[in-house]
Amino acid sequence: MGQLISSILIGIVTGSIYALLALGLVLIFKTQRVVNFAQAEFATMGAFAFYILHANYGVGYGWAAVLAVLISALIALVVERVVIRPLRESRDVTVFVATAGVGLFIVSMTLFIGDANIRQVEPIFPGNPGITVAGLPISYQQLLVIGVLAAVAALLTVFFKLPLGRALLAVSREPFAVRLAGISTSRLSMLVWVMAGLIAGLAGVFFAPTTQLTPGLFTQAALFPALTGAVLGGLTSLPGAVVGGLVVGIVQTVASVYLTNIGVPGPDTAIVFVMLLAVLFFRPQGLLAKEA
Amino acid sequence: MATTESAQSTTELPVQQAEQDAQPVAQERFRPSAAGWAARYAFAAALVVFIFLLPVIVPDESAANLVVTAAIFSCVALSMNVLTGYLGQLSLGHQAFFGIGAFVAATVVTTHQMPFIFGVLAGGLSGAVAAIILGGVALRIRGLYLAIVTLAYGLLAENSLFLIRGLTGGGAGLPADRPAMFQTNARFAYICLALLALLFAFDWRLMKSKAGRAILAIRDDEKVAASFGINITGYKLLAFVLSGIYAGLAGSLFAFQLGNVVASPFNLTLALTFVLMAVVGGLGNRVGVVIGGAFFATIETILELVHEYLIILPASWVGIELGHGLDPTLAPVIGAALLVITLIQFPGGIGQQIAPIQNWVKGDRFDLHAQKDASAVKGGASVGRP
Repeated sequence: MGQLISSILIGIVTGSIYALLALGLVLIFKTQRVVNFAQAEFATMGAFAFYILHANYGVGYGWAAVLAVLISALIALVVERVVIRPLRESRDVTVFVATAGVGLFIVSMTLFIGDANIRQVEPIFPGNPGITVAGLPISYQQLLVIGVLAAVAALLTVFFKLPLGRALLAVSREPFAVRLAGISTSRLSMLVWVMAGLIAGLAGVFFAPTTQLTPGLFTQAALFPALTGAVLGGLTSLPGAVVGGLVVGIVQTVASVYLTNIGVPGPDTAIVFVMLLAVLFFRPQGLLAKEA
Repeated sequence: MATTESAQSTTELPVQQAEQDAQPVAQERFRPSAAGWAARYAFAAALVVFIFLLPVIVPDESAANLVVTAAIFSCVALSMNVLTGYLGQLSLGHQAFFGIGAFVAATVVTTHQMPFIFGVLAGGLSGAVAAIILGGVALRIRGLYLAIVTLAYGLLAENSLFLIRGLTGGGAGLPADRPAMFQTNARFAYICLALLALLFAFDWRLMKSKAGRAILAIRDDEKVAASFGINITGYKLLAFVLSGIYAGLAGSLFAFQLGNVVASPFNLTLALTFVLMAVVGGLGNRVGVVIGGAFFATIETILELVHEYLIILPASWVGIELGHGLDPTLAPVIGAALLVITLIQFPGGIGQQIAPIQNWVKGDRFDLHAQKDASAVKGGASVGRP
């Protein structure tokens, strides 16, 4: 029982990362019908920017974090202007391939400029203290990741009550009518990508200390579960993305604890695959099945 | 040179037709003279002979190994082309078909001690089985969602299937010995080139057949295709099966190239490389994707060769120590950049660039601004359904 509780707790921590990435994916998909393969790489770039600023240049923790998050947002903005905008009239799968190219470009660029070495990002609390739940140590850093998700979710809820947020929601329903109302959809597109970049940057800066930073970290570890989380929520629902991400995280962690004995390696990937197929086959509109 | 050839042979016939049909004929079709045809055939034959002499004329065994890789990757590019180019369905999980072919071939020749040819055939068959499972999913799920499912399928193969100790030997891998006659890379390259030639010819004839046209029709509009009585389910599955067979056969040869099959090469990066080959090569263009496959198979080694002579970035840059000049780690950077440039600027990929030569060989005038042939125009880089 204790093992179950602790694995659920760890699942919530990993699920928070999936949920943060899924939020970015959903924001972009909702307004532009683009699935952004490079979303996880925005997070890795945030983590790398933070590491370089903090460890190599000695920038203070807070400033390094802020700058790193801004750098991810900047990268997202550049991707929107350079790659997404020229492909605005293309088919959705074409744009998906292009974002996959962007993801591959960023990963291989990190390997080209740097190396494949493992880096350890310093946690925010010196000495990495934590609490013990059911015999399992949980660091404050991990709890902070959950806090970041809660904060982002709260901020987004407020944001979508504001006029700008309402304009974004309107774009996702009827872009043409939004243009008729005198709102620039290309500015909104930039805004959405910057928001996705900011959220991914936060995920990168706060999650990286709990693991080891390698090139392509988030693409390897979190992109596919985050995508599944987003699909679980229906790909257009922001609350759905949070719930979906957390569900995927919890199921994955519990499965990797309890299914290691059945002889199939990588049960965590397998269970996510099963969830993805099950949702697409039986409930393609997502678990919550409402847009908001 | 083709422009000076006489048009006299084509002057009368179209006029007569125009009178008979009482329809305006846009322009009389250019046909080359006998000498023109001879030049075209000579060019095509020289190209084929050159490709088949490659294993012999390359300087050493490691270069011959490169020819093997190029031929195998070109086969995979043809496989990608069937799904992504003809059927219009993006596959991000092709490493699964390729890897399953490799492991099955190794199992057949090593564990079951069967001859080489059975290993290759079993590899192709297993690729087909792996593909038809995904094809079954494709009957229900489409477009972007199916692309996500193929991604998941490849990851599942990579993280679970290829690591099952009983099937794939776990980390130790499965040995796959080449037959005694084809021990050297130069000789083995002929098997790979033969497979490439076979698949190329088959693919060419297929796309001239009813099945090929049906697959293209499904890509362009599934509902319209269905209304013309095309069996959507059947032809979709056929495209998946063919793609799986191509990839499985290529994978089985890859097993013999490696000599010992381990799971690590069959990762997401490989799947993305396959996508690069097909898209940069030019979706729907057979020659283009083969060139694309050969290009991405060899680029790393080529960069390694020229790396000693060229340093493009200073050793230390923005405070990050740069250990690299123009070295193999640059290959995926170039590939990804080419992919994005292709999608935005040159949707026809390499196929679009070589269209003047292709059209000339097919019997048109040499025209630098020639359009791609019909299949490539429709394919373009528009992956997926409209």
